[in-house]
Amino acid sequence: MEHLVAALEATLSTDQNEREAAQNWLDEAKANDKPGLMGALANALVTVDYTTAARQQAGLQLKNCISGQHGLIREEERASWTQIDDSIRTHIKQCALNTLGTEKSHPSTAAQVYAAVSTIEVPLGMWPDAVPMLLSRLDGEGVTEDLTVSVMDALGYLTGDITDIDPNVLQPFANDILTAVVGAMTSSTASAKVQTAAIKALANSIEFCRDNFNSKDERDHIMMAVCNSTLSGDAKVVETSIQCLVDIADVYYHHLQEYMNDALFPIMNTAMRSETTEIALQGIEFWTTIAERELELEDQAEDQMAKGLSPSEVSANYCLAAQDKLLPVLLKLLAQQEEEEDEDEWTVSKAAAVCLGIIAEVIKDAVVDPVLQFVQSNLGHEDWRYRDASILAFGSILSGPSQDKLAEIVVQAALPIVNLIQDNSVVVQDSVAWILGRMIELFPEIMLTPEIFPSLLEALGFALSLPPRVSTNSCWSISSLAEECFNVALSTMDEDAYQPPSYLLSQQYSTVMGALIQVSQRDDLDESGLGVACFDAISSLIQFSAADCYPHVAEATSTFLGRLEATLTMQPQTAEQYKQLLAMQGFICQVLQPAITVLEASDVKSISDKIVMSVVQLLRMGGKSGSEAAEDAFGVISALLRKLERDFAPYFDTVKPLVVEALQNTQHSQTCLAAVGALSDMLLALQDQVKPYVQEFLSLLMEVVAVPDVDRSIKPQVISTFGDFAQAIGRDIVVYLQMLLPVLKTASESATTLESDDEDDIAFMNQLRENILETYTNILQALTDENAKATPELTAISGDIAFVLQFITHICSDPTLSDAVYCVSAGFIGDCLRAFGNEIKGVVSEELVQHILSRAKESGDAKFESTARWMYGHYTKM
Amino acid sequence: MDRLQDFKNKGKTSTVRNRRRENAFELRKQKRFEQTQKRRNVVMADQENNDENTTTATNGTNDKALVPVDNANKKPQLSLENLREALKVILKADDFDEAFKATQLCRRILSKEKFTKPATKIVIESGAVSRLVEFLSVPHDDLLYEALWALTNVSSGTSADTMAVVSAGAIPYLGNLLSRESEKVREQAIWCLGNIAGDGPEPRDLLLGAGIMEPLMATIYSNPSTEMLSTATWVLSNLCRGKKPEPNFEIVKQAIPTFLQLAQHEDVNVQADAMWGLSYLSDGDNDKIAALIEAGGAPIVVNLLTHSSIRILTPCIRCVGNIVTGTNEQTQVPIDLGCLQHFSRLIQHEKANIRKETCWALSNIGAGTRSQVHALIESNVVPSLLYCLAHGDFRTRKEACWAVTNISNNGCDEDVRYLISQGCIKPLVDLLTVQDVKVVEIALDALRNVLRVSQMADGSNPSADWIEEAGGVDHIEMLQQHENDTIYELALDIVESYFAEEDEDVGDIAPQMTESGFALAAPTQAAPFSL
Repeated sequence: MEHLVAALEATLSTDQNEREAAQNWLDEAKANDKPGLMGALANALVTVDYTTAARQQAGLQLKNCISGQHGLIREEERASWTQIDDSIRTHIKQCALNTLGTEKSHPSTAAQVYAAVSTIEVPLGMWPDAVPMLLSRLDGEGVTEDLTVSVMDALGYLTGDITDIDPNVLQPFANDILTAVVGAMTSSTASAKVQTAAIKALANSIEFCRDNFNSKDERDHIMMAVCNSTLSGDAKVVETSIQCLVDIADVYYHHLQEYMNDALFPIMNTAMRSETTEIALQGIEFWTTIAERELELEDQAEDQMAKGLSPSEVSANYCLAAQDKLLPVLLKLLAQQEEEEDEDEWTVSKAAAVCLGIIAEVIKDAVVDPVLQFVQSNLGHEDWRYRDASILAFGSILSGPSQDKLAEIVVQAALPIVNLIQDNSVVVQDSVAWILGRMIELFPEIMLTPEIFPSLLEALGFALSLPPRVSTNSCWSISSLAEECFNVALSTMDEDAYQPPSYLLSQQYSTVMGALIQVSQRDDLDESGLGVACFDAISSLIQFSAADCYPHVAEATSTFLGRLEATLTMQPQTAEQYKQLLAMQGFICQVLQPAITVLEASDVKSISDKIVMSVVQLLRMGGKSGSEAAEDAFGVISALLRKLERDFAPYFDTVKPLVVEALQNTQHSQTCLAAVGALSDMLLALQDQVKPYVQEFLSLLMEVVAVPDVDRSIKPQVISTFGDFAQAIGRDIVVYLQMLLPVLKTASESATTLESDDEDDIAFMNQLRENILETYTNILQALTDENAKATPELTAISGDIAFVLQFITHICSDPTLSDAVYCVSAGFIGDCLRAFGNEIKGVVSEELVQHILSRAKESGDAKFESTARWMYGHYTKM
Repeated sequence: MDRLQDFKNKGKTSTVRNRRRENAFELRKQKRFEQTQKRRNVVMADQENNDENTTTATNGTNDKALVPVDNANKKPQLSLENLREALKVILKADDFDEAFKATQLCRRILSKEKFTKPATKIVIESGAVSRLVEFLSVPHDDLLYEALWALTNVSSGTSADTMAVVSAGAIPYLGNLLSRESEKVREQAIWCLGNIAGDGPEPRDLLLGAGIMEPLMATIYSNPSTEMLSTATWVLSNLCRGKKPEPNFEIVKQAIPTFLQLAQHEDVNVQADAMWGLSYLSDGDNDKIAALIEAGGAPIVVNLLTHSSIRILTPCIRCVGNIVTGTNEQTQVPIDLGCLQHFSRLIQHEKANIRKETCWALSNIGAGTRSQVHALIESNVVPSLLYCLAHGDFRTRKEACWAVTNISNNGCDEDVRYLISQGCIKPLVDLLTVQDVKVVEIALDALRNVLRVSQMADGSNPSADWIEEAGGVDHIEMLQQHENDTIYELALDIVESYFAEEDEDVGDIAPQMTESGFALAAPTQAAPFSL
């Protein structure tokens, strides 16, 4: 034990050797007998005679043994803890419980240990007493303040963590927890520390206290406790209780009515004006949250009305009702910037701008007049804070109100704002560079008129020479400018055209490009995200170039290619230099992608040797690190393949090993994904030239999908690549079907039902389904002849057809199914009808065909409609 | 802080990378799609618009297509500027060919999705609509057709757009065009009529007043193509639709036999619109229901309850549901035809909407005679009904609640006990806390019936205990403070009759700002949740 205590103390030693020796000793003890060490740590934690440092370290080490370094409890930790002997687990729990209130350091490590154990055991049903035991420490005589604080801490940790896993688990304890927490908050003797800890625990508990919140008198009681806490003299208590009200507003928006006027509104009004930044931020956050909920409710209501349903919950329009009083406060807060504030710091002024933006989305036209008044009277204010605030205000509300309401104002404000780029405050210049981009995106038809465009362009050009924060925003605005100019020019042309012969930027194109290239050589590129913005502007300028800018695109391309070659010979001396070099290489690759797309094939051919050489070298140097540069390098290869098609063949042998290497490196998911994409592009471009390598590539891809924790975005792409192989080599795919069909079947089974309403999950599922069906289609097509009739090889897949059709029928009942999946389904059914003729008649149901057809008519998607009609044509022919 | 991403351009860095990734996926997808389509010889839907395009990219490589399109030999560009020019020509052209070209251009621009809205506005403001209507009577079929198409596009916009076509006097012409020989003219005319009929009661009545029923029925009986028939059926159903005010029933009722015939057509689109038409025509007073029954409609609609498509089922359930809102005799007709057997199946349908509609239909039968309520119970539908009451979405629960309440009011005591034995109490209690005042009221009403039949001679009441167990007593006590008088009285009555001893006074306890902070009016106990 002395050894352990000494080692624990030594982990905090100022001598590095001592620290390392101590940590090694602990690691060894853990490797030899982890449960034994944990028991000993628990003893050290509970023994009041040991030093504060030793006990604190014992607690932390113990917690890390239970829940891992990151505090997240994963499957391994869960399993490893539950396998520990019963008596040791009970001992550790008891020690943690007994330690509460005896620690000299804060926050309590015993509380963290107790919470970590609860988070594993309670959801598994292994420790139903966790909460009651903890709360029982508050019963009886002699409850000290330290004890109450640490019990509340433990409660706060465990409610927060368990709620993340499954809030229902704690529902049976809702009453007891609330009683303890609200009791601690409202007790006349409670110190600020106790109150803060209790409010945090309450905030973490609100989700599973649904029943209590639904009962009026209980809700009143809770609300009264929290509202009263906001009147505390202690800033931390005030901040925490307002934060708690924000959480409550988010979860129980529909219950706020009774409290809004008399309590919440005045509380937030005071909070927003507080001199304590943290309190003011929470006050603003309250209204941002309310506005977000109202926006959400409005969207939901619209969706439901569109389906002919009456909305299940409606907005109470608090934002609209409060705007009279709320807007002046927010506008005033906008002007609370500091001269030297950190760009990444969350400040009252930024919070107010974001809040105003969302409120504008909610109350729309109603926001315009009050804000406009503020803008008008402050745009020429002598204090830069007010000039900046008026630009922030105007910029924040641009996307909420109707275009009609704003158009006239934008016309009038455009030039005065453009001129403010000459302001003597860099903060104001920054905001001007930003708002111009917003105005270009939202009101292109105004900003691109001859009265405004020349000054606008001049202002943005001037801003490129200013400090990074300003030039970054100017770059973003130039990106938007190129895109809008391009689209405006295109909209006057015939529908098939996709490049205008000339456009508004043509005259100044080389000047703008030159200025951006100059920025791209500045040595402060890594400040304020200037590098990302600058190269995005260059990429946009190339992607959205008119035909008459072609020579400038070609010139810029060769400039950047030269720079890429130069970086490859550089020898970075420090890690920092290496990082910068990689970033620059990535940036250049980002520019080369649109350049290759825009340039004519003959011009690309003349530089393709250089491009391939550079990219290959870059991948050899930095590819293994999984950097963004590697991802972008594969993007360049993809662009080349699309452009050169079969003429890419000479480079195949050089590029192939790099693709293979990246495919084996699944932990760098984005690089791996880019390599899968490049492989697809090879198949699409080189077709049957890849025949000798099919076996090798397919085996590799099989390994990729077999990796259990592979990033989930990779699998659907790999499945598509299978289809590309079929498409590329035709009937010869039949040899590999034994390998492919089982994978496709398993994938289909996993894609049959979706049990989530999360948007990301829905999008993922649609992608997966689309790719599966696309691949089945490609295989089917590969096994038919030019007239879409069956070949002898077709029997290899005929057994799976009924399964796929069943799969389609099943997923068609899913309301979240996308048009894209419907479209491939229609294509697949049509191909089946053509290939199998009457054989298949019994398997394709009329209802399914009709369902897809009517969905196609509703979709307004030409691709889908024509495919569905084509399918229907083959169906009725039978 | 996450919100920092919403400030100025802070969030852009991560979005541009995602955009680049998505772009690469899209290009790849596009290429794959082209290769698959190549093997299919699919005619693209919008090819009509590109009919005489000289192809610019024939040998399939991407770079070729990037070369700007040579416009020398092409049709005029589709732009709003050219639209204005075309309208000028339309307004004063005296030559068919010139008018035709301008009208065609105008139609093409109106058909482009990106132009439709502004173009419609420009066309209307230019005053060209009445000129286009004039073209509907020219002896030049091509011009007539283009004008008709343009008007169809205009009429598909907002109500004001549709009215612009109506007030230009299009209706009589459109009626006449239905007897044209050219199928495409007839089809286009019928689309335009559908847009007008579907826009609301006012244009609908103008159409009916202009005698549109006659040529429309003639079209339906002229053995048209399935597509045409489907559109005509849709138009006819639109003419029967709407409640404020309803269409003149004397005119529209002649559609009943037609709809009944169409409801048995082989095309599911025709069937669906015919059934919707019947559901509109049977929605209302008992005379309407009588008209449907007299036309022999009941067996047809009840039989269609076995259809597999939900597009048919929804209007079909509406229709039968409408009939059972009628007199007791009318209600008996579908019951005798076995509708309850179908309902007991449909209430378990996988689509929530079908379950909801079925609950609604059942609620109407529950409002019938005692023997009709018995028939309902005998069809063994109650367990599923209670499942809907407990687990449906809100609207389904609401309809199910109506059904349960009606059964409890119109059935005998034995029927109410049956509801209790099947577990109606908990789901009814759960409805007491919803926002919808009407639902709370009928749930209370049902619970009162439940309590009434459970009262024992010795004063005990098992249902009262179950309500207590389900947490209902607190809710009912709270409802004594409800601002709605009916709810307040029901709750008061229930508490006084069955829960009197637990009555306690709960005052207004919303927090009020006082000098010392926010205070509850009268918290009698410590914390409510510690009890």
